[in-house]
Amino acid sequence: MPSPLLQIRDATKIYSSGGFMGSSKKSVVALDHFNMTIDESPATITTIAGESGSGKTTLANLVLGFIKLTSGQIIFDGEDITDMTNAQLKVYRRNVQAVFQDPFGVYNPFYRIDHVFHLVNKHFSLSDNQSEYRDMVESGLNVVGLYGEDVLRKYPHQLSGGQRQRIMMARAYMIKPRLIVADEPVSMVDASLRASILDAMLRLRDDHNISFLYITHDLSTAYQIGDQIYMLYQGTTAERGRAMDVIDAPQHPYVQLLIDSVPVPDPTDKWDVNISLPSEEEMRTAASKGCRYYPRCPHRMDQCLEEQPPLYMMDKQGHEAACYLYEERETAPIEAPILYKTKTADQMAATGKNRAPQIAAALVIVIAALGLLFAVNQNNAAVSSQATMTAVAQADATASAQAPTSTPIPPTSTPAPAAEIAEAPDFLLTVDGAADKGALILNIITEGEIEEAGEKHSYSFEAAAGQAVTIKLGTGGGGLSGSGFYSPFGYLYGPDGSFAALLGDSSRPRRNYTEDITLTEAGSYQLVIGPFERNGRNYGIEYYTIVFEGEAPAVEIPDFLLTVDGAAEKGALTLNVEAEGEIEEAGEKHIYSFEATAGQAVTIKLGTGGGGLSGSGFYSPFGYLYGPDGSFAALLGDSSRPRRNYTEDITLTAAGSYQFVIGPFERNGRDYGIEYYTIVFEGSGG
Amino acid sequence: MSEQNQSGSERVVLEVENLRIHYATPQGDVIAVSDISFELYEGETLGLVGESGCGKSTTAYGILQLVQPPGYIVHGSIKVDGAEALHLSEEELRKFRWTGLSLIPQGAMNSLNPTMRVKDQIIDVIEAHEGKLKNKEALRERIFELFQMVGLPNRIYNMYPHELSGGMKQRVCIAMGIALNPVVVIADEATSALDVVVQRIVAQTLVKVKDALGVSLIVIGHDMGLLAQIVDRIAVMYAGKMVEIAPVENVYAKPLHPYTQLLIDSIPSIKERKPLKITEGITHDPRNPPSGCIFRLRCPFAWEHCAEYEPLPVYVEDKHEVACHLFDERFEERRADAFATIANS
Repeated sequence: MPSPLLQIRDATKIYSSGGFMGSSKKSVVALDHFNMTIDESPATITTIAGESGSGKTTLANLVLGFIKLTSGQIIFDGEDITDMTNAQLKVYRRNVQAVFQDPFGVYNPFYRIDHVFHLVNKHFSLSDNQSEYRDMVESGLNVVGLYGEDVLRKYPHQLSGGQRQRIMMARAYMIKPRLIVADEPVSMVDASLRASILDAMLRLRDDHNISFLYITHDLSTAYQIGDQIYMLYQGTTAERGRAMDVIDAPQHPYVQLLIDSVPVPDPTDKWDVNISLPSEEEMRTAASKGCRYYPRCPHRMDQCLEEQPPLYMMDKQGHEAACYLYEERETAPIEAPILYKTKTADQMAATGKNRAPQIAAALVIVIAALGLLFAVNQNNAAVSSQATMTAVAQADATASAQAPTSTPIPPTSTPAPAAEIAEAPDFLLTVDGAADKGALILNIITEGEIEEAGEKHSYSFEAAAGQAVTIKLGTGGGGLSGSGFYSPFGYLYGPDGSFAALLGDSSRPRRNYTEDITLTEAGSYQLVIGPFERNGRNYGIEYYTIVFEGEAPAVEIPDFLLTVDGAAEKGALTLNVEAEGEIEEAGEKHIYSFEATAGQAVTIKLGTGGGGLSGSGFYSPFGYLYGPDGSFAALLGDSSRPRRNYTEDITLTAAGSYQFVIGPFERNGRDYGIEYYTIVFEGSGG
Repeated sequence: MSEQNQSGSERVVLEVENLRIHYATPQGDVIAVSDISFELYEGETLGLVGESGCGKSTTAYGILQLVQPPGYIVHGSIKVDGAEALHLSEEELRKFRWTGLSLIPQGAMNSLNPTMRVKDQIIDVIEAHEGKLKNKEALRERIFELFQMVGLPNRIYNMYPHELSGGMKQRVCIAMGIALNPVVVIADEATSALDVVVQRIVAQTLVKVKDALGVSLIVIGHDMGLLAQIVDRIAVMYAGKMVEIAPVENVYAKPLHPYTQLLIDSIPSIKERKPLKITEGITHDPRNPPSGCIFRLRCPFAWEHCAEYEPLPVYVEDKHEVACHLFDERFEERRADAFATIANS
């Protein structure tokens, strides 16, 4: 799973003004439930584009921590920036640097260029001695295509706008950030000099793994260097995807107009229509619900006024547009709020943060909470309860490892210990302590009451990999006052803290909701239920019932016996076998078997050699591994997000013949599958 | 420097000759505009391009005689409709601005007075030149007509600038610029602070107004894409010099001056990804320009000759003039080599 560097979830920023001496209070929604993910590696340039007032600079200022979110989350490297301590903020500011629009305003005209580097060196204590400092400055300048002797002794006015802007990049580079927020870095620089700045960005991205949040209204530069693009319109994402896909074939009517309006530098290809904004340009504060583009849209329909359109998938490479013109297509996967921090203690140590005091503090809570672990956590006021939820999450992690010792074992997706497979091959699901370990059937009912809007309840339970569970949500009573819907609603998070499933249906109100889920990984799951806001509307219930029902996955021993290409030797201590296959129709499954000794470690790698099955939502490879007794042993794959390769290390506890089944399968009414695949078994004697 | 005529009207409405403007500094004069000459024809749109600091805005301010100290006009001639405008008295000048020449300044939307209603600012312009007008109803109609022309709704008549969007403010400035039926309108980066959609609307408004009124337009900018869309001819400036003037089709299809080639090359496309073409800005000290050709320090084709002699503008073909030694008949071979290099790159 690519680890995310920056995750923005449901980010909303509302500026309020007025309200003085009885005048009516006006508020402007600058950013409206915005979602974004930037992966850690490889570094990318993510463009945020849109007209003025679209919220792009608000977004930059939020990420830089200059302003605070009204609601939502900004998670950098697993940490919510709103919860950071001062010490963490200092680290954050090191990791996230900024380059601004005005290449002159940021310099003090009375100092030579050298001064910029002196300051940053002093502030971040980058080097101990002069020669180290010199080298550092020189290498920083070289990265952006400049040389110290040419620029360091000069005054800002003696350099071109392009050079000044590149020096800002060099300055940012010296701090070795992981993300640079570049707010219109080229718009005040002459067109002929822009290339040098763009080139510096590319070098920082490719050679130094620094990602960019590139805020611009200039689509042509975004097209030249951008990887991903988000087209904002009045604080919402109108369209997003790979920059070239979106600009080559825009789908949203607004983005189409925008791209058509980029002047073509060819006098023989002139604009053929005169456009006009609707005579009233005041749509800026227009629609409080429904599509924001409605007043200007040439394709508007009545339904556009009812609710903001969700993002629909244009293709499988992440090109999505928020427009009801594409209503027949699938909606984009849900980007749920991030439940808790996903970083492990090791990773935190690796990034050089001393977090011992916080971990210790969390442990106190963990230990205190252990008795209440599976009891309902009633977190009043969602935002302020973040810390509590984190503590519970860590407590769960500890409990799942059954070792509440001095170091919290991080939630993990690596294979469960061998002993666990041997003892409890099937599953265990504990809710409120009511399920017996290893029970084959569980049927647990839990009830709750939500007394205030915003209040959230969270439940945690343990599950084995591959466990099937049915979660039923029902409203025991009426809806919350002010809530648009009576539907129960919840988010399910997996052991690694990642979003696993959405429970509920915001599209229509109903009293009961059932979801059948196969839990892919062993560990502690969290279910968070409560009213919440989505697309500008409140959803909520007052009373609810959750029923967890689980049963052992019915394992059919398939009637096959196909030794992997005949290449695996029985009882061999080492195997390194490759198999390839092609799945020709949906539903078709391929099965491989191999022999293993007890305690044998084996690595199974799955990779897609080609495209997805037509109609399949995902490209991920997926397979089940069954042990010698036919019981389910491990799940290979990850349905939560598409990816081309998947690796799992497994220790095979029992000697005998293992079977590996690969193929497309249906889950939550959706087909997952691949057309071509490669499996590599690697193992050595246990 | 041209006797050639634009394909449309052949009447010259503005003739600039040998205009030279300096900025005085304690270390000596900076040459902002260096002996440039050009003509503007009736009903024509001329684009004036070049990187910041090349003197394009100073040229505009020079033509309007609005150069602020320490800047000053060293010499030159500026004829509007055949009449010399350079040696007018303050009073004559005041009349002359807005009626003869009008300016839509850079960042025009910030040039509106925030404490005055839109109507009052436009009325100010009109009454400053025509005296107090008795017939308020007619004045109002006249302003509505202006609004109509630039595509503004009448309801903004009583509004303050802060109540308008950037594009609307920009169009108010255009309305003021044409209020007195000037002969020439100069738009200095009139659209550069705007979003593409609004930029397109403002640019199309400019062209529409120009066509409706038959005025001539000088558009100063550095967005080569936008200029391609709206101008008839392009004049390229580099470090105070005019290096090439040509019909817009020629400039994009076959730019001749090495600097123009660089400008055209560096236009980022939204049609195909291209390798970035990296260039530096003006690198010489403007107080102390290099000998010979002003561009030779950055020119990929420069040779000794360029350091010794300043290139003079030559006609390479009808209406297309360029100031570069490569187009001197004596150096035909070099030119062929240079163009071969370009074709190969």
